[in-house]
Amino acid sequence: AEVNLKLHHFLPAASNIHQKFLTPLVRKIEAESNGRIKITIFPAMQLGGAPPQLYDQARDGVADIIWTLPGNTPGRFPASEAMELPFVADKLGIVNAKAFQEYADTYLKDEFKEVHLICAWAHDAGLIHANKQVKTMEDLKGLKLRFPTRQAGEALKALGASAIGMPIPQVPESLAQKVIDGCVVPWEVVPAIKVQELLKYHTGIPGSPTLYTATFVLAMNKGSYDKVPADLKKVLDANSGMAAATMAGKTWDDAGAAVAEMVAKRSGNVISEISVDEAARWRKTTQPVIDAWVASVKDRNLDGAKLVEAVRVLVQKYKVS
Amino acid sequence: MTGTSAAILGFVIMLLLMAARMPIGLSLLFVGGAGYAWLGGWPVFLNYIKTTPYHDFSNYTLSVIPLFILMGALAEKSGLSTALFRAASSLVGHRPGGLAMGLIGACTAFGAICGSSVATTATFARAALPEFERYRYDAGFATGVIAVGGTLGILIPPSVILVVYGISTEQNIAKLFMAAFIPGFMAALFYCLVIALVVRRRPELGPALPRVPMKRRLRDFAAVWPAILVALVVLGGIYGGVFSPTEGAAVGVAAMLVVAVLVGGMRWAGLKAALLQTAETAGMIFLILLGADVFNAFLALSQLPVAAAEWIGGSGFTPYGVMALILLFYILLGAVMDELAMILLTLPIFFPIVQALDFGMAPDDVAIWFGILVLIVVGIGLTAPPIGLNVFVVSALARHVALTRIYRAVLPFIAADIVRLGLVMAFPGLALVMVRLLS
Amino acid sequence: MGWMRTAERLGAALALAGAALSLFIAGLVTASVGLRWATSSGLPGDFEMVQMAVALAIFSFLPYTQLRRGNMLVDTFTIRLPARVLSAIDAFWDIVYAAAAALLGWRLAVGAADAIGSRTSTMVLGMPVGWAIMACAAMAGLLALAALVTAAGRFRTEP
Ligand code: NA
Ligand code: NA
Repeated sequence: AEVNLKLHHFLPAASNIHQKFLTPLVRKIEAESNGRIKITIFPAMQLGGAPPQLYDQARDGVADIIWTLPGNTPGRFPASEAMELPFVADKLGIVNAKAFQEYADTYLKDEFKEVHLICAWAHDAGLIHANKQVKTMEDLKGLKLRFPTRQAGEALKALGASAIGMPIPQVPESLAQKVIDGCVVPWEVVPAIKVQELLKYHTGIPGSPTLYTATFVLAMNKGSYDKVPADLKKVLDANSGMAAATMAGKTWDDAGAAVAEMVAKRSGNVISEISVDEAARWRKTTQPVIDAWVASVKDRNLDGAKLVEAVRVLVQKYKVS
Repeated sequence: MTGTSAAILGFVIMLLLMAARMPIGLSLLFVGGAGYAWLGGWPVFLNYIKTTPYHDFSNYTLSVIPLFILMGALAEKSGLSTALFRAASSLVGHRPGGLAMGLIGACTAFGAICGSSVATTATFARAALPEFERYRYDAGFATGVIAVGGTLGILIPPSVILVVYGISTEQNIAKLFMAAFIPGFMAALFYCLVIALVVRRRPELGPALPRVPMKRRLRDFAAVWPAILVALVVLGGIYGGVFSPTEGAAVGVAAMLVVAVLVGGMRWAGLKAALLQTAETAGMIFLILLGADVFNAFLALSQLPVAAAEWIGGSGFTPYGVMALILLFYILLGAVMDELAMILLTLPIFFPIVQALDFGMAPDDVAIWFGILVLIVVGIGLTAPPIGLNVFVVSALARHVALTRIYRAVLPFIAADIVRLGLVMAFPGLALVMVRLLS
Repeated sequence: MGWMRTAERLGAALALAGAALSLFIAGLVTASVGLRWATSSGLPGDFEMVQMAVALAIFSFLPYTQLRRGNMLVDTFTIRLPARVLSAIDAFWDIVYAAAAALLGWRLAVGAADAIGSRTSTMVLGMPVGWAIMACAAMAGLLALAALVTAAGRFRTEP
């Protein structure tokens, strides 16, 4: 092909995101370019390195396109963290995806200036998966939960849980050995780490905003993008931004619904939600996490309060439309 | 040149460089790097190595490799390996070939606290060679038995090879350890049978020792309690749910250190020697791991794994046929290559192929079963001529014995291993039953 | 010969520090496991401390392994060559290794500067990753020196 690109990411080829988001997106781009663009996907960190390096690999051109979580490199993308603060995100992935895409377009230009951002999104509501039922904050006390992002970890700590930081490959082993009592992830991640077999109770938050989300970006090397001929750039651009983010958000929602249904059918697994009043209590208890974040980004010259407000407004905007 | 032919050329050049005495890890690094730069471009390669070596090594699970080696080194310095050997040989030494069987028994026990075959081989070469000489064992037979016994370091869990397999295929390491139990003990049993058969035909190879009085036997057995204690703490903690296997390595080192100081009388000089021994062995392993990571990135770029999977998929072999071919390939490759490098380079190619085959088992069960089969072929490769790492290790400590003599002594044991491989392949339950029982 | 021994002593000192770091890992994880067992909450940041320590330990081992000529090689096919030829071959590969290590050291230093610049830090304790990479870059540099020392030593130690 005229343009050959390498797309590098960290999940196995059998994963949902590889099969239902990245592969269809790539095929669509290839088809719309009439085969003049060819994108080879390298799953499972096949091109080497560890997930925290993916962003640098795109910046340095080790891969042309990468999929990563800004949260993989804590401290590096402070403004992105606004979306990941407790009780900011929506229950639905598609809402979070659109909101974060627009937020990125408006506020993250500087943060991601070293790469060409294809799209940015965030997943649907994360749940608490544990070996005991969680109804109130008190049930979380001392519960050893693996937390997914730094801010979600702060939120869990504020709620009284023992937030344990642990790389995801360590989770199934630690759950099986009862080294930890549970983990906090969206439905989509559940089968990959066998949570449905290892943990009985799956607790969500009623309505929106929800406990937390995590953000993702699909980023392209600037030089690789510049080299693409103008007419093919149009093909790439048409499949970037809101169009791609929407597709990603929908993938998480669809996968989440399918997994939730699968888990519900298993005997012994209990899916529940905390009460609305309890959720309000959690939200109040985790407010200091947001305040602390606002204070902490001050020395990065960011107006944290404004950013949180912006995310909330965007989430609301895409929720109604 | 297509990616596939570049990858195959890379393999050939790598083997040639190895044959020309280039250190194994360096040949992987060198050919992998050159191949990467060839396919991906120099600037890309230079950026690739900017942080990759750090992030490859900055891996929580990898920490168990130096720890499992350190555990063995501490056990040796506190005299535990000698105690194990003495106890086992006071039990069976009076039989023809008994001292050799005692060595296998001691290696089996030591294997339960040490995860490295190199460390186990070196430990028992130092501890047992003088004894074998004292009782006029044939030098070729004795060194061969030590090389074979050393493989029990990885065949009996904990096992560095299973850790590496678990990391590169994302499988549960605790389950792999459980699955290795029965095949590991089968290995020890088979090795003793081979010793008995060999010595029956040629009694002069392994003369019987004088029978040991019961009182001394009991005393010899009493001396191994620290080893049992440490193994119990580690295994009990893992299967009692107190810690994960990865954490078990750390707890094992801590327990062994306490035992070594309080019971074994280890002091600073002994600790220093154990630490340096660990550094040297771990350094050797990690250079290979680093080289293999770079070589694997080159292989991924070449798309050889994809091409191989497509070829196998379209070949029309039955699942068991494919498995047999892969294992045969491993035995041949393992004979001429370092096993760690071999599995690191080939798992990204073979593992997805095996996972796609239908053996009538759950994919996770297949993954664990395959892990144990790979472990057995690795054990074979460690002693098989022309390049058997364990044989090299023994031969470095027994300079007066010709390599060919050691290899000749090893051959019947390899035959036993192949029988064992066939059994575990025909009856996956041998690996899987312990996983079911314990979890 | 004196400098050869000095180099080996320095390499041993570095390796000892790295192996002591392995002991530290063992102690840290054991303490974390014990704490978690007793109080249901382990040491915060134990995972990332182990991750950082294991990378540093590994890089500290490499020069010592090289100085001890402990890297695995295949001598089956060259066994009949005269000792002088073998020394020359080995010295040549030592120099290749030195070049590779120097390349790694240089690139790691560049990567470390990047990571320091972008303030990449660990998840729980916020430790700066860049400085750990920089330390590894320095040890890769020492590895290059160690390989040169062994290359030179190949000719001195032969009779
Ligand atoms: Na073992
Ligand atoms: Na071999």
